[in-house]
Amino acid sequence: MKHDRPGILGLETEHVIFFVPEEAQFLSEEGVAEAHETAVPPFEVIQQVLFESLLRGRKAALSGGPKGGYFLENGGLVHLELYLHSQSDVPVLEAATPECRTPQDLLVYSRAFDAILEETSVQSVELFKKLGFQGRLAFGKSNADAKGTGLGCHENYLVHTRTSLAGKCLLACGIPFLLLCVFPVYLLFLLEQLREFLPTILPGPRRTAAWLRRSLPRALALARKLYFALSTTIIFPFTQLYSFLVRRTVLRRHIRELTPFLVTRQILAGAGRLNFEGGAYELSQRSPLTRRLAGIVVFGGGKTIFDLKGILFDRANFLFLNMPFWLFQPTKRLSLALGDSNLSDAPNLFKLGATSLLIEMLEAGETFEDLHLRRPVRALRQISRQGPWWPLKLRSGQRRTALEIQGEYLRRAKRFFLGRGEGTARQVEILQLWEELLEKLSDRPHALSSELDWAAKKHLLDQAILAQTNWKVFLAWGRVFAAAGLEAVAESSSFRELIGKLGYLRRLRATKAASLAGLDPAEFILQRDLHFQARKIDLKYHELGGGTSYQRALESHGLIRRLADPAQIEKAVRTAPQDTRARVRSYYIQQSRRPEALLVNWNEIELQTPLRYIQMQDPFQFRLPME
Amino acid sequence: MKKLSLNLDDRASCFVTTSETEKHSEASRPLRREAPLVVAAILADSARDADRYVKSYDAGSGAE
Repeated sequence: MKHDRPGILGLETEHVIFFVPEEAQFLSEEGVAEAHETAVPPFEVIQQVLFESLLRGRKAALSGGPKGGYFLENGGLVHLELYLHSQSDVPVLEAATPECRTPQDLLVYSRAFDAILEETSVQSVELFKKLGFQGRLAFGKSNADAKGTGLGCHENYLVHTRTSLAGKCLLACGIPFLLLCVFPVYLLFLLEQLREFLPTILPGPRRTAAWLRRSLPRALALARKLYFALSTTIIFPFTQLYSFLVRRTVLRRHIRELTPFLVTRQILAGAGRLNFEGGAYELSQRSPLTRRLAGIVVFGGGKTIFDLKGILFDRANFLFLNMPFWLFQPTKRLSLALGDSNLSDAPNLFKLGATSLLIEMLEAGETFEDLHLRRPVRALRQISRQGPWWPLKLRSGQRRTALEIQGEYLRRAKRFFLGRGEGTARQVEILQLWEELLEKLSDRPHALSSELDWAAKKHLLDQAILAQTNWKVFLAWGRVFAAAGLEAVAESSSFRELIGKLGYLRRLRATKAASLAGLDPAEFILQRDLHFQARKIDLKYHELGGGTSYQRALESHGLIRRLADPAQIEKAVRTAPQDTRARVRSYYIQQSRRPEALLVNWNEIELQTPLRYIQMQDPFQFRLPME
Repeated sequence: MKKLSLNLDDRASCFVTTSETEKHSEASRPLRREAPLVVAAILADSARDADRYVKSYDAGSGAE
């Protein structure tokens, strides 16, 4: 038998955090009426309850990373996305799994974080009650919120790269400029953190401190605007140029050979999404948001398939003073930003497993030149919208469907791993799953509703929509409602009333959409209620917390297949993988008495008493210093 | 090759399918009989107070 290739994998998933008033669990009409009166807690209260609930009965340590948060006893990290974020916003929670060696382990840790957030939701009820709020926290593990704002699910893979001397020289020349570009972001972040403390630590009369307290937010807002203006005019073009260099030198082979697979894997790994503006149910949540193949995504802008930020800043310490030393290391972190946040096990394991196998194949010299797509980002969006059978243009001039391309990757992976009767049990499990899912998609697509997220959600939507209307009319009304805005739609009881509430442009768009589709205004109430119901299905399918997620409801009744062992998930909530550096991190967290006693980062631990640093640059190093 | 329509009217089969086409284990069959009830409960929940739920599901500008 072959040995597993040494790999390191991890997942970073963003979650919407929202407050659900007490009604939500299968409620009476009276309960709903009461719930309307329930106040929604402000940001500060949500943040306080979130971390108190999350850390209750759990060992943790402060994160030394620029975004703060806590490393948990299983070696993973949770933090709020407060990056250039206004205090009036609802927070987003990012959960990063510990480093894992296999896709199967990563699936277990992904589920462990789901379980941690579900526990947090339950714990939050009591804490909210003490603060005078009736309800609970819930977490949305989807890639878009109700307004369509994107949330990421980044996959990270350790890859081996070879860069030519000329490439290295080119990269080295750009480093000083790159540092100049990124440094102000961190400076702004630091100032933001200091905003509360600066006035108190500066010497001088109290009046000065008060003046500073008043002026700093304004100064910061101005600095932010200035930075955004500079970023679009000077910094953004430079980061794009540097992205191009990295793409052509460090990651050329990985990007070229993996792209057709990544673009087409959404036919199995997509989480499904209603896209009313586009008038479609899409296979993937991330694909409609993706605009570029590869780039350094510092903030905002179109999403990419490959996020090169991971290549540039991995293993760099604060202020990146060691960047020149690690940029040319033979191993890198390949960060994929196109994946959807899966709740179901089969698409999650397929996504992580098949990608790992292909990375191994291409690093062993395999090529997939005949599968290269002519316009991959366009193809990504076409597949999401048109489905697995849409013909895609290849560079060779041929046309192949996403299903055929996946089939071809699978055929070659089977030949590579099983051709000589070898292959580890883990590899075989992934290949079998891949084959089974493709076979079902090809021959029995309706059977996929017990496997894949997009198909399970589509099934629920079918049941809701087809009982009252048809998809064509439903989506046409959806386009009208999207043009009018959800607030106005919710407050209107007739089409005429809705139109009367709208400003000129919205009214024009809404009436045009309605007349083009020939919609019957008498159906307004039915379609409005159905529209919100479908949106709720689209979002609540992905909810974690309080046991009300639709995906979890289906799964717990055996209607969606589970692959991860519940006992292993329970163990992974509190213990780290035993074969990566997460074990060392976890050991020190378990030993500490309180979160403030340690300052932890992915590659370093700072013990406070006595002050001592433990370096963990090698992700494979799982032995404790005393072992 | 059969095609699965994504956006057309499609009365997709529910989770309960015949044993010839689905290789379900004996253990999972009794659970699968509950499928229409589970789906009905989900649909009933989704119809309640949907607009307020949708409005609360907002990431603000903190996302990415």
